Amino acid sequence: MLKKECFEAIKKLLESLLILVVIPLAIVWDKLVAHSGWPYADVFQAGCIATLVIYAIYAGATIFQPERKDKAFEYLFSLPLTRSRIVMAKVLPRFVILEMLFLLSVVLIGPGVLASGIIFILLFFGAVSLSIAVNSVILNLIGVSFIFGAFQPCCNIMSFLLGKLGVNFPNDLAFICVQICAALILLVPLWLAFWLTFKKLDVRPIRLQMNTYYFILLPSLAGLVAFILLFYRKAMYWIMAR
Amino acid sequence: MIELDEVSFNYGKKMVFKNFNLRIPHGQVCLITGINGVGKSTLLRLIAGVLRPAKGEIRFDPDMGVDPRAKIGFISDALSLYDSLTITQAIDFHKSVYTLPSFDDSLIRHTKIGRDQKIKELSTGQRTIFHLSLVLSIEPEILLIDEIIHSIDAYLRKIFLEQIVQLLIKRSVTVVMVNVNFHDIEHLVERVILLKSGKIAVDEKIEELKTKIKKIISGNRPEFMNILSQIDYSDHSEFYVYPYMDDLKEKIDGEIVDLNLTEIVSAFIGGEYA
Repeated sequence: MLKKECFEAIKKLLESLLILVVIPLAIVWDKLVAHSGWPYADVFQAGCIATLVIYAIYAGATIFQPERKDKAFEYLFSLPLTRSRIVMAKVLPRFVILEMLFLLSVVLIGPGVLASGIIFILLFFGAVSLSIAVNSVILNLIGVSFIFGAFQPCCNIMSFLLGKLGVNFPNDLAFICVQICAALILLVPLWLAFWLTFKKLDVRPIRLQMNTYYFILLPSLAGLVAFILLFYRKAMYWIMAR
Repeated sequence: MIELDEVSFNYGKKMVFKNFNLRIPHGQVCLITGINGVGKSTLLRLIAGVLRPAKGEIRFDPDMGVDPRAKIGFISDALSLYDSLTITQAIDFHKSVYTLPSFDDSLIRHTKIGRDQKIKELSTGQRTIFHLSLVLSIEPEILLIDEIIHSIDAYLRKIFLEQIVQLLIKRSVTVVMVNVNFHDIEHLVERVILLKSGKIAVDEKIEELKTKIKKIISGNRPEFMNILSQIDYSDHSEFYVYPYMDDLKEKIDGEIVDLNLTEIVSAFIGGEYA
């Protein structure tokens, strides 16, 4: 199982790497047409980050693509594999490749990318959680964009709340803690919905089995909106005052 | 042993089984029949573990281990496999999941399936045989076979059925088949179950069933017996009666004919449509 999923993860990586073709094209276009004087290092950096973002979402969103495309859920579920083993086998290789890609970007671009580490994890796990409900990569991308959109307000609110609680970290650690807390706020309900649905999933049409998913996700979404509405303004005042 | 205890199952609002009970002892060869949509394939899928009952429990022999699926061979009508894999990749995957030391590919070679061929390139018959070879490789304790063998050609069907017969001769395997009504395996079937509206309408041992269901060829309808189905011809009719009562034999104005398994299954299904 793991071997097959490693192969799938590498396939997704190679497909995502196609974006890098844009870098030489952008350089040629700039040299011949635009003459913007944009430093090529920046073009390379943007390409690397775009690759990471695309891989994180694409690898997560297509986690059940082979089963959907080949109608192989019946075969998969007839195998003596626990649901946790299936999820592990699917998530682990994709996550390891994401992390390797991330470390490569740190080496190539510099430690500046480190600050975005949590974001790539958020995008990946967000896409995985949505993949059970959403078949299309585009719809998954829209969903992940909403998660990403909610991430920054959550970060601001978390720094405000941690600050109010009197938590004093050194700057870098505080930054990471705030990001982790914000990511957890977004990912925990999503993963809970994903896991509880997948755990009981069988070969009936998926739309008939999404009750648990929406039962968890919709109140969580409402709670998240309320949380942001309640604290965001206060958090922004507090941050600006500091 | 397979035991379904008070199993309920529904597709959305459509209830398929409600408090359904069934016990199939170890080593029994059982034939499930009934009209389309009655839940035969659903029943196999519940036993195979690819569908989960809404209520109730499905139990197996304790010696089948923690995960009985390791010893269940399921050949569904969907023939679900990873289509984009090649035969070699699919075998490797199957071997790794079941931790099989080796894989006997003689059946695949028999049917001219290339090792580098993708599963999606196989015909239905080849796909069925490949599926069977995967299933046989795990030495199943329980074999579940859906209606699929009706859609494959005579040569591959013969190979398929020969393999099943060989398996049953070699080992004591519980077999549950759906509407597999061929002469080749007739002598193997021990029990026939007719499903009707999510319930068991008939559950009989084949020998008993053969004495209880008869065909009466006559010009007059035998009103004193329960007629399952009938086929009318210009000069006579064929009446399939169940249960056939031998003590009323004298009253019958016509010929009484014994039925084979195929005819029994057809009679029951015909009765459902009557």
